[in-house]
Amino acid sequence: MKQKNQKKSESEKLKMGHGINIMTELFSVPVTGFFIGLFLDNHFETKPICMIVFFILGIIAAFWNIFKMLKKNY
Amino acid sequence: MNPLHQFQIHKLINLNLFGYDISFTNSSLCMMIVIVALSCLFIAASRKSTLIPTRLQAIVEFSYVMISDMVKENIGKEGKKYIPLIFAIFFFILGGNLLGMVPYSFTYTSHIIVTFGLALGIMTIITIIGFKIHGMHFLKFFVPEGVPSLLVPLVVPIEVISYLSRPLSLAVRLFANMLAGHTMLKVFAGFSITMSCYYCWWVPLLVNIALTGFEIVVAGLQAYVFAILSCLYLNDAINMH
Repeated sequence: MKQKNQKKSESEKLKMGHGINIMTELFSVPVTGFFIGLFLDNHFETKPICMIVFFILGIIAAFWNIFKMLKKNY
Repeated sequence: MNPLHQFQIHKLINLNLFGYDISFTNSSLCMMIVIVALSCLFIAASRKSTLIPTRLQAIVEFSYVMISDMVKENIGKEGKKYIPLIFAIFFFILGGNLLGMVPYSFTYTSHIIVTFGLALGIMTIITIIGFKIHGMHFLKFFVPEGVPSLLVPLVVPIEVISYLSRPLSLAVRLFANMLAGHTMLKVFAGFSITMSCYYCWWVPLLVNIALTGFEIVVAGLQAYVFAILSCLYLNDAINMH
């Protein structure tokens, strides 16, 4: 059984974790954007502007990544 | 019975270095156990290598072939020198996940700082490799081909954010799986104790047995996913589009 699974292509194996991938992607990309924004705000002293802009960019990036991932595999 | 009690960190030996708390905790003890056990296994297996492998040698050779196949499939010939990196990461995580399945032990991969440290280290190495191989051309990574010049100011921040979020998403994936799985095991174990005065006390116990098997699968799978995603990211840095 294990030998058989090994023969599958890599994308086939990763299909098992697509739900979890989407979850982590939706969580981590906006959070990263938020922290980049926070860093830039502290640097340039422009509190909430960069934070909001990068958070929204992070949400866009998350959905764009999910779209690319699903397009590649289905 | 607190299901999160298992994730508590206790100090075993108090240590202090220049005001930083670097105490030896139960987490460090588990990491130590895994590293020592893995080193003993690999040294014992490769000490007397024979043409017809013994059982120990077969385990080690099989694991090496698995990792090297994974690296070759994902990166190609240039990836050969990164086999030790992926091998070490895979077995450190697999050892930690499996050690966590032993009762009364501690799962160090269920702490986000451990997984985030690993993921951040890997992404730093990958970025350095990318800059070393491609020089400043590596920055083209953030400008995908065929993007209209009008959209470049929008696409570049998006690509940079999604590149910088890779360590966090790697870390969160492993951490969330281990945390959720181990909490669920403890919650179901708690059910079977609170239901012990009813006749159906064995139902959560059976579920718990199934979940234990499931957790062992998750332990292997998550270590594999972590290694394979490191390979894919390494491939992005080495063979740029």
